[in-house]
Amino acid sequence: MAAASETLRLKTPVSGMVFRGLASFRFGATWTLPAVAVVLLVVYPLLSFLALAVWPGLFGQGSGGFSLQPFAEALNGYNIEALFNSLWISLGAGVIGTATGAWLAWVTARTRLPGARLIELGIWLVLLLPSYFMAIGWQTLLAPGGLLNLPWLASIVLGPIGVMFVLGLKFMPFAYLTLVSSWKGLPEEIDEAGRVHGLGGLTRIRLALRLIAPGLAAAFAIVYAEALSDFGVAATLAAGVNFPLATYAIYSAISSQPLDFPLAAAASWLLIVLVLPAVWLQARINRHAGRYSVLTGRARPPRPRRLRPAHTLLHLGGAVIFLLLALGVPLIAAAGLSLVKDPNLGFAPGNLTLEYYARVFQASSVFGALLYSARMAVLSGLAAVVLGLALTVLLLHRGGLARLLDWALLTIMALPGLILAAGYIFAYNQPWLPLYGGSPLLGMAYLTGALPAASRMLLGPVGQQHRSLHEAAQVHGLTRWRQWLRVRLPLLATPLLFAWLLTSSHIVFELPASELLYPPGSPPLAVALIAYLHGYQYATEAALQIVSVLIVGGAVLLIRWLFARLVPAAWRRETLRRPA
Amino acid sequence: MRTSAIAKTFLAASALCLGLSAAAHAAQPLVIYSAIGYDADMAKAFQKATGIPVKMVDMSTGPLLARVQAEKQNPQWDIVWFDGAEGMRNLALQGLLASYAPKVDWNSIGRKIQPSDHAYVASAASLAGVIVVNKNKLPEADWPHSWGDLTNPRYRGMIGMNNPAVSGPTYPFVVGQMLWRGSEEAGKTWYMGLKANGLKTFRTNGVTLRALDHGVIDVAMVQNSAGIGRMLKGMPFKVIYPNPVTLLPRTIGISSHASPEVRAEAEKFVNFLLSKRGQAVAQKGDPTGDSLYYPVVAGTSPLQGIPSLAGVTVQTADPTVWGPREGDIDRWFTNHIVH
Repeated sequence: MAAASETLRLKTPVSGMVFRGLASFRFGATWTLPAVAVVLLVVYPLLSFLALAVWPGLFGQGSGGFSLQPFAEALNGYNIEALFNSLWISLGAGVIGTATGAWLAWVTARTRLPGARLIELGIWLVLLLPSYFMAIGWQTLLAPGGLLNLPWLASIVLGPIGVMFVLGLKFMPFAYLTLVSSWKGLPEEIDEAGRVHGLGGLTRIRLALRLIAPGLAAAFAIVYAEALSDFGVAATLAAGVNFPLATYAIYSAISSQPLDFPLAAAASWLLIVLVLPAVWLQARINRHAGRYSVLTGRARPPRPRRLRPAHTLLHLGGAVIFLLLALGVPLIAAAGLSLVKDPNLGFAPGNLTLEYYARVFQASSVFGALLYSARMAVLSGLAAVVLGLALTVLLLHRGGLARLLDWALLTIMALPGLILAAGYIFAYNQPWLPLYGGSPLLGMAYLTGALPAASRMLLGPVGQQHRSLHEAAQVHGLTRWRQWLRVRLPLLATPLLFAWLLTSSHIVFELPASELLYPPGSPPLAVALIAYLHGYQYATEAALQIVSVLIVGGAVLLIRWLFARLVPAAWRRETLRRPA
Repeated sequence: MRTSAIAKTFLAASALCLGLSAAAHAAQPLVIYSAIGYDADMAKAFQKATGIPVKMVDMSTGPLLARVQAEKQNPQWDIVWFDGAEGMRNLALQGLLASYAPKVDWNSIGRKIQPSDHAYVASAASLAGVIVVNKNKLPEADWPHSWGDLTNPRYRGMIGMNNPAVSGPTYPFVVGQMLWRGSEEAGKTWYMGLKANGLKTFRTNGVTLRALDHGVIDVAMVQNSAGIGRMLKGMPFKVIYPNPVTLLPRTIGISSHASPEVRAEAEKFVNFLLSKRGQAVAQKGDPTGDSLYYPVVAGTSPLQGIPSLAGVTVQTADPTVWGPREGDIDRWFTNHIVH
């Protein structure tokens, strides 16, 4: 391999035949393994499920051959209503998430607001918490008999507006992460020029927003797609008030009598149709990002600005409200539920108890579930980062295959995990491919779900490595693998660690694939959590939620601390300039 | 070159598969898919008594049936166990169940709910719908005593029930009203009357009873065991048994795909469950939930707190008749009553 690449680069005079042969070998070696992985992990299982929409007789599900009947059913009253609800709720969530994300990204990237680090930490925590924690938090707080007796607020939050709002807050971090780099890339001269010409504040804000328009559009597309594919809020907050969303309608089709997989597949196609414009927009922006990055070329990097005291207060107040709504509510609600004997008496001293926490620690099966999920998360997260890195390198190539890969990854990001999990059963419960029923397949599903986020997080840092770096290494006689080992991977250490931590902590709480694919006898954490809800043990469920969030959060902090202590300083150089 | 890379990957994958299937053949554990509150205790006791290892997939009925249905071509379970006969009948119609008739002395309830073709076994029963009132909100003089009372304007906006499309045990209750009133249409008319009287619908027993506890409603129609369980937990509830009540069988089925050896193990499990020892485990495992059932074998009495059904008219809905109509009736309910 290494010899081949050197041969190519040095352009040794060889005959055209050999040259073409070697080129195709290199192309093949670079693409074959990742392509096989993508086909096995995504294309084959997904198509297995989606094909049921037009071929209901597949996998022994319905009867007969080609039919459009499932689509006719998917377009009936309940399903089409759910689809329409999903559309406008996700558009609204996109606006809320993008606006909040743009504001917080500006505050942390362009100002010297005290506590900006805490805000950033809070946003990471929002990213880590599963959406059902948030939704259950609001329900615990505001449902009749909940911790807060505010019927007027309950009537707003426990309904479509609340669903939109919670989805917007939950997926805001995606907008934030996209927009931080946009704000950092916006040269300061523009604003200065505006001031010199005496433009008003509003006009300058409008101008700045126009300049980061690609970032805003990308952020909106991600939040919209994530909200559309969310299941946690759809199954709790929305279903609790009989407000159907598309992902829940799909779930209903395959979990209430009579079970109808072909209908679920047809409904999934329709959901994908709604997601596609966002995927297309995102892919287009990614491809043309170069056009806008010209701005940064000759410009000075922006200096964080000191805010006037009144503005500091305003922004700080806003950030506190945001953190309270997004993090405070679920955590306070879970703590309120799990620490008191009688929820109606509140935090009175005689009403406090640790009984529910004791129950969590006494139930050996629950602890086993936590350990199993932790092990699966660490391994699948690692695999997702390794494969994610390989795919990222391929994504940076030019050409049709890279574009196809980009589309595949964005489609997984937008698809409900439930669909992928059901596809895994059909695809891998075959006599000739009996992977279903074991931990490896559950791990594959976790890995696939985590892949888009992992590769997206690595896209910036890998893309930033200038080719002069490799050329210098090559001049010094380093082979391709040594270049990776000695130069590129050390420089990527921080983003790789972050991608691993993020994907692993997501996997610990993953629900849909866990439910459909867990091996008999080894329930993962999310299944144990839902089992408590199913047995109406709300307080114990809340205690387990708090315990697992603390354990996962503690592990993340510990690993970061160890990383800062043990890894050579040179490897961590990117911490200072890490693109978000 | 590319071909060889692909070939290697497939070789590695098939080696992995072979390894996995070899491992699966070595042990012969009994795989149970279940949605019953005391299933884990039962599995432990069975394993202790017989030495047969048990592996559980334990979750609520909805996702459990989704898994069973998706696995249809190559079922991984040996036993499936949940509340409701319609879902089980559906599995039987698809040829997924091996019939089994345990030699057991059934009591009168047991005889009533065993399927004549022995496609599955009804291992216990509860009541699909009873009336539960909040004693703190509704004085005793105002308690409803018959199903007919509930359309009385006195209860306007005070009544709640579950959505049958979401809550498994609610479908037999909905059907029970149709059965008793003589036709599907007559039942629908009654539900429309309830809706006109301000009926509120919730997702499941738990949510409906929470609403009852918090005063959102004063009267709930839910599964009897859920109401009794809350009473035992100290909630100010009273369970009322109007005529008639509909039985909700708890059904257990054996896979037709299981090997003869595993099938014998599964039959052992069913026999253990119905034995004195098994019944003791069942009645201890989930004391404020699924343990609150009516036994189906002679010689076992229900737990304290479960009143005798003497004097109450008990009916059963034939799953072969009502099972196939479930989709249509649930859809009607969702479109006309829930929304």
